[in-house]
Amino acid sequence: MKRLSTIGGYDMLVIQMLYTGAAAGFIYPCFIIRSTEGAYWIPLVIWAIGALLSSWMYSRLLARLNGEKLLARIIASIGVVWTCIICLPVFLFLFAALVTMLRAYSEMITMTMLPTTPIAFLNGMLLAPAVLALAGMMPIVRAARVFFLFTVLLTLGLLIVGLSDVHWTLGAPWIRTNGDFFYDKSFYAGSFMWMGFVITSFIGPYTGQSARRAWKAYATAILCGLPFIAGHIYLPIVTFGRELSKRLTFPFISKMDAISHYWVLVENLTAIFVSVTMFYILVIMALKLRAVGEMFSGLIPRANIRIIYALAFLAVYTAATLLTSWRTVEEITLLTIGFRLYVMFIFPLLGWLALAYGQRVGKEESL
Amino acid sequence: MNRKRCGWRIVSLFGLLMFLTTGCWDAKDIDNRMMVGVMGLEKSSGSDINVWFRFPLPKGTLAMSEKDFFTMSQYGQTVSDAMNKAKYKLPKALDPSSTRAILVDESLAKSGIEPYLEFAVRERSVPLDAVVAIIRGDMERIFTRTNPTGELSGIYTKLFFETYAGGVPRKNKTMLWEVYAKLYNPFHANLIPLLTEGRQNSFVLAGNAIFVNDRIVGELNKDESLLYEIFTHRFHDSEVELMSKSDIRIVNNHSRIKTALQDGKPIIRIDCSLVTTLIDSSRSRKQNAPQILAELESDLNKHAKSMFEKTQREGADVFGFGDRFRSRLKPAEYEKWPEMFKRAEISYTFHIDLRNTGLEFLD
Amino acid sequence: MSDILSSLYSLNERQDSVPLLDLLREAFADSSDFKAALVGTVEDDELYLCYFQSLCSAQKLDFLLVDDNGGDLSFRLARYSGAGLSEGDFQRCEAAVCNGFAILCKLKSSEGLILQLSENQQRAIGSPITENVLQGPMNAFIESLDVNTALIRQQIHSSKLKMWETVIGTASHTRVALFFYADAIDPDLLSQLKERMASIRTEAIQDSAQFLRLLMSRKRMHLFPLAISTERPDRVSMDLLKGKAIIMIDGSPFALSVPSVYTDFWHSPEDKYVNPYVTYFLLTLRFMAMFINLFLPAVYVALTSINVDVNRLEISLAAAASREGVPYPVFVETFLMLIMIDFITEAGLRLPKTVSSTVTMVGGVVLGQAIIQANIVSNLLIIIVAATAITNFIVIDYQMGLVQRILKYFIVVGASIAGLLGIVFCFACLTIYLSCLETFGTPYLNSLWPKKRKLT
Repeated sequence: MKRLSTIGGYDMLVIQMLYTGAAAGFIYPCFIIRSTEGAYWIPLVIWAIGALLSSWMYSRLLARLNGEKLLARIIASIGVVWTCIICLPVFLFLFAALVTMLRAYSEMITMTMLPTTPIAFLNGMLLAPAVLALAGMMPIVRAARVFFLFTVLLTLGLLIVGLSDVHWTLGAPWIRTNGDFFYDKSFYAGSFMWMGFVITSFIGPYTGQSARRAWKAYATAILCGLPFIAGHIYLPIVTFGRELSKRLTFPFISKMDAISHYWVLVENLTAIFVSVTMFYILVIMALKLRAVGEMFSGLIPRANIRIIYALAFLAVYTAATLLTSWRTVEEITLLTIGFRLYVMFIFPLLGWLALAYGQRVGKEESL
Repeated sequence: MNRKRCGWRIVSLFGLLMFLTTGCWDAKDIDNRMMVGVMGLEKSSGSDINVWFRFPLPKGTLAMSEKDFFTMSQYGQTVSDAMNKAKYKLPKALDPSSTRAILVDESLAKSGIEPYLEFAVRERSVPLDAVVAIIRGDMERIFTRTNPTGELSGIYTKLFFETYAGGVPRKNKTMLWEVYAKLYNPFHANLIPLLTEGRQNSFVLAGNAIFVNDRIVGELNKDESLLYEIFTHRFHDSEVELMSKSDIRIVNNHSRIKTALQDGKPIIRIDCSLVTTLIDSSRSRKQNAPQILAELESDLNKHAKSMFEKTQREGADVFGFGDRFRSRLKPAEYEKWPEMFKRAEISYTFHIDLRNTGLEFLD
Repeated sequence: MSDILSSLYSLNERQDSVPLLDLLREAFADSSDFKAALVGTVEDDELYLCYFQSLCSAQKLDFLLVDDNGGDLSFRLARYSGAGLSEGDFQRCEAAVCNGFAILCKLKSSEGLILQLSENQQRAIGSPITENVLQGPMNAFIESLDVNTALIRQQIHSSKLKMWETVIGTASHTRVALFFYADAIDPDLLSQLKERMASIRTEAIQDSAQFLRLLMSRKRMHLFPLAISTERPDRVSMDLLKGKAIIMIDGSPFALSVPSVYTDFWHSPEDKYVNPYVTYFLLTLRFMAMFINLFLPAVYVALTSINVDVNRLEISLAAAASREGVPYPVFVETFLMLIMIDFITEAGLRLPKTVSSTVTMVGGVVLGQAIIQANIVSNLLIIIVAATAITNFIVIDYQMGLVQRILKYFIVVGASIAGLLGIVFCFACLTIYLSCLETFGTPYLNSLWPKKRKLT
């Protein structure tokens, strides 16, 4: 059944929207909030353009694959050793992103819903994404489609309910900016929100057509996701003001806490928000684990897939459990900025060069 | 092979059972919790505070005792400290996660409330949508007396401020997150309702307390509070405005605020249009519509004047006019806003539309 | 009917082999219902009729055994009216006897004539029991494959309705039929199915649901039913035209329709016969019922023991009041009550109708009232459990309903460990499990957004 194993445009859109949700309801928006004194939408738009640029570079790279996997092609072109070298930062980025996501989410749970449950137990939820990642890409896509149904409705609902008690004057300045965010580390730390395409690029084979379709879906997802992200950033600000929002660890959670309506059945909307976020991050963690897994099974073709995923699970779980303090998580996010920028902009160039080199060598050999 | 697998399964099953027995870290059954309905903070000796807790009791036990609530107080250096100490006195777990209201004693509010409220945001034990009010007078009586109106005691305070309760426009419902957000916002000062003990009921609204940073510096009376609500768009309900000879109800209001900055001096223009209906006019002295309007307008102007005088004198921008200057000021100048507000030029005009003037059934 | 006679004459008698009659007698040695009756002589050769008394029709046997006409064998044979007439060696004859045929053979012949004298024991066509509808066709399959085939053919009068048959079971030799509609079916699916059916090795099958388990060849157990079993010919014909394959087993009134995806289990055949708006409403109702059935007890556990701050203080106080004096933790009382209600359901299901109403009375009213007064569970929980039980009956597919009854415990466990998040996690795990499932190459969660198939 070949027609079932390709990812359609809608599937890509779903996954990228889930990715947006997973990143937007999370620690990354507060980096953006801290990054500037001016208008917030400007860094957002700059990043969105950066994301489009990066994904376009990737899609050009993927279009040259002709139905093969990215890593397999690179290995075929420049050999295992060089591939390992240029992929090491990618791996480190994925690993750090996994650890941060898991740890940040368990921190979120500890802060809001289950204050005394040990974090080691909460981190155990990584098991579900690991199993999903092991099952393959199509199960991830199908789970994503189901989750998307719930999450999109609930997130939209939460954002709309979140419009209560807002004072638009608090959001000012709306236009002014002095570019101070370019000098702020937090601006670059928020880059993770825009890397959805990178992760899917490492999974699965692509052809010229599917790469173009994927890029289109991604561009749509960015457009649809921008209001989501902006909502997550602006809602706390127009409620609490900048000064308080910058001091809160999870501004959006406090925003959810602050909502009280006679007609909202649930007293504590934070519970809903945290639950919805769980759907998002389960899928995205599965996606990242899948990317890590495919990377390793590409580099070490003889390895048992189960063992790769089991090791990945154990490594991420251990790392996330060993991170005791929240500050460390934030520091890791700041420290891995370099990797992220590398993965976003430099890796596709290197990959493109590698493929071109491989082609030339192939031509010379055939001559 | 098969047996080995079977063995693994049994081991993992036992592992799961272990989780079950050691797990449930946060499980605490609802009947083993004492839910705090209202919390009261009162100044005690030195830097200590006295925290009052009012726990609504479930109806099951109601049959035995005549009160539907239980009150206790506890000294402590902070609220968290007091809560910890209170746990030594209680048979069930103290659970502040459903607290509906936080009442702060006036004397405590005069010396600064921030150190005592900070626990709520930091610890997230008290919901951020709890109502905050300042209490003038004896905290103990408010906490120990039963509500004659009979609502569950903890919920009563919240109901008092709900939109469907009467007199809302002057009550100025303030929630914990608002207090906290304004503490950090240099452009916006707090205005928290001030309650006094009532003779027949638990409490009555006395006015609204003006805060600079986290201290009380003044007070708006009820009439001034009404204008505050009108100017800040908080007023959505109809309200009776009593005048000397005739009663007028404000049914609809809209105010436009224009701001400008001239040579570092903020200029604020408020253009307020009101739709009012005549409810009752005195038979002893006949007034025609223009007279009523003129009287109302002068009343409003008088209250507005005193209100702005009070707030400007203290530099307390309770209206949040400063937020409109955010884009005009540089971030470094934000902290200067209270000083600028003192010098601000505020002007206001009222456009009043009177309806129902043909109300003369008795003649 | 000189045909039979002439074929009888031509039965060969090989000297080197054991005669058929002896072989049959030996094979069916300890079966008291096996008869080998002497029916007459033909040219000094004794003719024997071998059959199972229990399987052959007494009326059809009449013509041979009742000696009313002076023993003219040819005259009696002429009265045989069965359709099939063939010769066979021992293997064929043995199988034929087991199927209710009779064997006519000479004393010494090594082959015999197989006469169609069987009479199948079957009930009349009735109305469906598990899938009642108020409007729509009212007939249901029965245990006979031939009758069922007829019922399907009566729904689709087309040459494109194909039927493929095989025999499965080393002991039972059950006929298994595979129906499909030639234009709609996916050829991959068809070949895969045939292959799998051919490779089944088992002793016996009794029901189609059991057959499904054999069909899913892998050793892993599947929690969810992977094929709808239906007893309605109209549903079968609907599925056939949708491109599904139908598997029927002789002896089972349930047809399996493969591949069935998750949403198929939520459609009643009635949905097609009523106003589409009503259908959407009913579907929403069913999905709501599913969620309530799965999550309500768990939500009760979560809200009253872990995430107390999620509901209003008023509700919390009411819950606390109703739990006042209950000595057990919330999840214990919930488990207790859930198991109790499952006992009642199970008891009511298996009993005759007259008794089951008493069970409902005793269980529902007396037990429910008494258990509250005894302070063992809270009365809020009784409401929850009752709602859970009722919503379980809304589930269309019986097997899916059973699965949900199990799953609800799983989710309660999740809720008692981690509250609302536990519920969400369990739900996510369920979805992940479902998304990993495939039925015959079709993803189980496929038709959430069904692609429109063009009518050709």
